[in-house]
Amino acid sequence: MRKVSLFWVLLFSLLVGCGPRTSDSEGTAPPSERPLVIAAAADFSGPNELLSSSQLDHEIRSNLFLHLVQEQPDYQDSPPTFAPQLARNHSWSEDRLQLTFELREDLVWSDGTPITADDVRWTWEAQTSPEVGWVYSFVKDSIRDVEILDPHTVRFHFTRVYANQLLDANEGFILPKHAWSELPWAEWRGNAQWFQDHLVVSGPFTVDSWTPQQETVLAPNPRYHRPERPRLDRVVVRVLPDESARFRQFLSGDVDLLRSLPTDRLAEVEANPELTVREIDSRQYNFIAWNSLRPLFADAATRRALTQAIDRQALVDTLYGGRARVASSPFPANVWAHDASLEPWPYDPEAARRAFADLGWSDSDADGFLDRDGVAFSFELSTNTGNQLRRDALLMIQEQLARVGIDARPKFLEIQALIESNNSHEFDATLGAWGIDTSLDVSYAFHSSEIDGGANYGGYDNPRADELMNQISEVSEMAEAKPLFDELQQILHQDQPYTFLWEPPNLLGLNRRIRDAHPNALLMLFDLEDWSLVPHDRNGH
Amino acid sequence: MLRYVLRRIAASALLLFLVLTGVFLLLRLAPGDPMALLETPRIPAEAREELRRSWGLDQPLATQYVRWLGGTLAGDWGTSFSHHRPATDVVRSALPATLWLGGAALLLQLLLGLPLGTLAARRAGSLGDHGLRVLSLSLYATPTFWLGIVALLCFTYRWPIFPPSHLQSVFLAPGAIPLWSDRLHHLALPVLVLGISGVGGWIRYTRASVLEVLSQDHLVALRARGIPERRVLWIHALRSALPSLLQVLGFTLPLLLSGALILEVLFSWPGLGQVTYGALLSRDYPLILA
Repeated sequence: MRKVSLFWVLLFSLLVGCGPRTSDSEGTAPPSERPLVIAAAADFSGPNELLSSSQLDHEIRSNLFLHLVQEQPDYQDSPPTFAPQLARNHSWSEDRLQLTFELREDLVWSDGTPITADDVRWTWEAQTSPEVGWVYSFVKDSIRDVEILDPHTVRFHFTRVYANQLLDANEGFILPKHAWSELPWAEWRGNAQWFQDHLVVSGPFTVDSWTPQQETVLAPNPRYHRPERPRLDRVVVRVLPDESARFRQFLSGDVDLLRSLPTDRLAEVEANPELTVREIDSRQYNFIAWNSLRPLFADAATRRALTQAIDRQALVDTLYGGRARVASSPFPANVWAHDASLEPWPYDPEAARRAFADLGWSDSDADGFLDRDGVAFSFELSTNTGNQLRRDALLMIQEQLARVGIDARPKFLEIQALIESNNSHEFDATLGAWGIDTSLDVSYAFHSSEIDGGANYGGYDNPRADELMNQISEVSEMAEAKPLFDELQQILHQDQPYTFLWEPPNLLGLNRRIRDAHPNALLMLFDLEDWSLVPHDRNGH
Repeated sequence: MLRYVLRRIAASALLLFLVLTGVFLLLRLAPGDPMALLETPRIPAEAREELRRSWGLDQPLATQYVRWLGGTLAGDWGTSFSHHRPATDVVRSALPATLWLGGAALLLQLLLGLPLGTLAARRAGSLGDHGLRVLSLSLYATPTFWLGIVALLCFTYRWPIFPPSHLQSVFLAPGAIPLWSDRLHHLALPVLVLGISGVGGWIRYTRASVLEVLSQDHLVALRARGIPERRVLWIHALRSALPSLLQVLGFTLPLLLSGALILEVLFSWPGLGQVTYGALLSRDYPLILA
């Protein structure tokens, strides 16, 4: 008997001793109600956004911290509006070089300390500190100073007038000076855990526990300014690196919310009465970038003919079951800056053949492929490995181009190798995707100054397009830039540095027990404080 | 003797140095760098360069190597680019989960492999022995990731007997007993997969080792003294075979760790495998090298 008892004691000690370190709440019993469970491909990297940035991090932090004002998802018909958040209002000086925010006086951090103008100024200092090295500090370049007028009034001083002033002032969450200024800026990097250990929040949730590689658990902030919010008791973000595991757990009900549903498996979701598919804007577009630094693609007429030889509607129908849109510009059709008069180049293989003939291409050796001066129209079309949809797209495009006598050879590279070859212009053509943000800045991809060191992979260089992008960055009201956006899109349409392929939807899978959710292109977890769950039994039914 | 030991230590140190140097160089020769995965292309080149500088990647490769080697010798593996914590901390927090998984799988392999291998040796040439040889060879040849996928499909989705991932459930009744029974439940399937995928090797090695000692003089003498066959086999023969089996243990451990790497990703098990997978994808040099 003694031996048996000793065995169990030892076994239990082993399990406790060798078991992985878990959350702060280890040993305390989890609540009995099943929380909202969200699947994530990667781990949360900590609460301090100045140290790291990923979409998942941003989603979580958006529920921990508040901005001065909250950007609204109403960008379809005009530049977006902003709702009060920490600031109850804002006003401009006559010369628009000063932007003054009046903070709400009733707001406190989760430890009870009032949120003041001091936090706002200190946040700006941290954001622009070289010691902190925030990679987005460039958005603060035009802010000369942040002045504290009184404990609840703060004024941003700008060095110039431009349309995105409010956007740039508002970029980044306001951080808790009293809690986080204890650690010198020079020691911030490499200390993500310290900020979790000293976490105080202003948003509806706080981090109840953060178990690296496993899950992040959010719990309500008891001092949130809306006492009736959040409505959820707990939100669990579970790390599931394997894509098929994420999908299977969503199907089985272990996960309630899944972004980027695979389009070829939508039928399984739709057949499940407990699940639903929500199609939300993505503000993304897929493209083929032609390397115009290479003679084969240097001529815009060649690039236009290539676009006409690709049946993009067939790609959309096959790859997305018709749920995507054929793209025509870097500004997706659901964004106000999109030029609605722009018609995507039609799929017209005959016109493409004629264009190639006019450019001197013919099949002189009758091998089925075009050639000119003894050189075949043959090139490599690259994309990254591990993306089945892009692989399928590439193979379809290869077949479509072969019909007009062009030999496009698919090339699949590991993502890091692909980015390196794109950045160094060591490619012929590459299939990729961009998302655009509210700044509507596309100069990184099309401005000639971005050929060296930027993301202008194809080396596109059009002085008028450069001029337009420069002018857009200098207008004082974004809406005034609409004619400039239109002209830029017309130029890109004619020049076709990219073949704009499609605008994908973001297909979000939701368990039907989720109520009052309004995910959008800005945030999947937009206004998470308003979400609720239908009650169920202990087994989650 | 002392000279021999010193020579062995020096050879091991040299081997370790060569391996570390090789891994360091191979990583840096691979295309891509950690900057490439910054999510927005709007980040200007200067900001990228500043980040590169803060990570020490702007230095010549030789300087980076000397710094890294010096740090490693001093026990400082640098700061993880993706976790923003010291790489030592990341490894330390992930190691227990891997040890838990690997230790339990090794235990299962021994519990199954030693008796089955001994039995096979005892009945060498019988139908049962042939059957075990086929089984052990099949298990030995089965890739762990494939077995893991099949196990997941069968026992978590088709017949949901085991949980599909993680260390514990989201939904738990209060109390220590439900907590630990839930953890053991989560541990069961990955351990079964990792254990079974390695058990074939143990059967083979145990069979060969026991078969070799069964014909040795001292066992023959034991039988001649009338010691029961069961005792000769399970006590004396197995004990005599243990030294060679301990050597097998030496090269089983790396196999266990490499198998765990893939399984941890499949089962979202928060151990070193998952950490390594993430570090490789993000070119997190300090963490990969740690």
